Order: sequence, then C-alpha cells, then structure tokens
Amino acid sequence: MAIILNVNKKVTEIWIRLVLKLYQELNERLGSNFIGLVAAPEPNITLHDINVVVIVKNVSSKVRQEVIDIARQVEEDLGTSPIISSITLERGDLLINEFKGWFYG
Amino acid sequence: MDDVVSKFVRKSKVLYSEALDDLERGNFNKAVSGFYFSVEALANAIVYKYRQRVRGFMGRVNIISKLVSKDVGKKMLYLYELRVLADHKETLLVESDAREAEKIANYLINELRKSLSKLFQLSENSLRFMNSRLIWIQEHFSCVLKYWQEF
Repeated sequence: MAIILNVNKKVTEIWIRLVLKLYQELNERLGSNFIGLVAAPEPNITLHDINVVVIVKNVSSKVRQEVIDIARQVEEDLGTSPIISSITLERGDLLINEFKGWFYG
Repeated sequence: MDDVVSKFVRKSKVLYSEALDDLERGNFNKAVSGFYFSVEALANAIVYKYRQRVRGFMGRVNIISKLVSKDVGKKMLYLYELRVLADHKETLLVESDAREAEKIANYLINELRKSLSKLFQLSENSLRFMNSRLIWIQEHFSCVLKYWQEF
C-alpha cells in the first residue's frame, strides 16, 4: 500500500515568503502593538476560512482594517492574488488556541 | 435577468432586511452575520454571472477584487472578520459593532449592485425608466387600495 502525498512545493514556498513578509510588515507598521502571528502550515488549511491569526495588544476596528491593508500590500509586493485570510485578536483571546490547535494539532 | 442571479439578488435583499430587523430588535450578533451573508449572496450573483468557479471564501474575495475593485475585496474581508467574531467568539458583539457592519454592508451592496448593473448593461435611461414605472405602479396601486378601502 502506498501513500501519495501531493505537496505543491511552489505553493508552500510562496506561502512561507508571504507569512515572513507579513510578519515583517506588521512588526514595522503596528510597532509595539504587534505581538505575533499564527499562520497555517499551508494557505488551504483554514478554520472558519481563516489561515492567519494576528495577535495584538489592543484591537480596534482601525487596527483590524490596517492588518487587512498590510496583508493586501504584502500580496501585491510578492505578486500573488489574495491568499491571506486573517483575523486580528487580542493577546489571551480564547480563539487563538482554537486556531493553533486546528493548524498544528 | 438570469434566473439564478435574480435568486441570489432576492436572497441578498431578504437577508439584508432580516439583518436590519435583527439590528432594531437588539440581536446584534445575528445582525452582523446577516449583513455579511447578504453581501455574500450579491457577490455570488456576480460570480455566477461571470461564470466563475469559486474555490472557498478567498476564491470569492479574489474574484470580486478582480471584477469589482480591490477596495470592495478588502471591505468584504473586514466584514467577514466581524462575522467570524459574531459567530465563533465567546464574547458578544455590541450595537456599535452591528452599526459598523451595517455601514460596511451598505457600501458593499451599493458597489456590488453597481457592478451587477454594468454587467447587465443597464443604461441610466433604462434605470430611470424602470424607476418611473415603479413609481407609476406604486401610485396606481395606492389608488386601487384607497378605492378598495372606501368600497
């Protein structure tokens, strides 16, 4: 019996580059409000259609929209279509663990 | 109008009106969710009209960003985020959240409708004509109603 694992190396490479660039940009633009991010291992692994969780100290509608803007900018810079589907949550939010569990078991 | 497209448009209208109703009743979580799905139904109408295949949520956002505008795509993502918070977070959304969702939904519905109108090549004149017909029907109907009540 064989196991076929279809890993699309190109997709994974683009995803890693996107996530790293997103981290860098969030760090620069949100400054001390940015704590970190939890990204799915692949863009198609999602929970509630979300593949990136952005963790901040203080969340507001302005911060949420800024994160969306940054994600779109990162995609444009790397020449990809919209792939990053993010949610912005405050440190300690119960949903963060739910996403971590779903992405990484 | 295409039958499937008109069904999506009708669904969008019904969901929007239900969301408004929920907002007025203080059902803020349901309202936010309803506003999102009202937008999604209209987006589905456009996607269907263009005969595009959608692969998941981001696939839809991708197509709408290309066919309508990047800003509409961004706002859809933001409204979707509010919907996830309404449906999956342990805390409850408040009135200001629902009002914000309403504002974004209004913008999105307006933009998506404009796009849909362009798609069906409805000129301003034909829209004006349709509006004048609608007014005529309303006036005519109110006369009939008045007559009926008096009768």
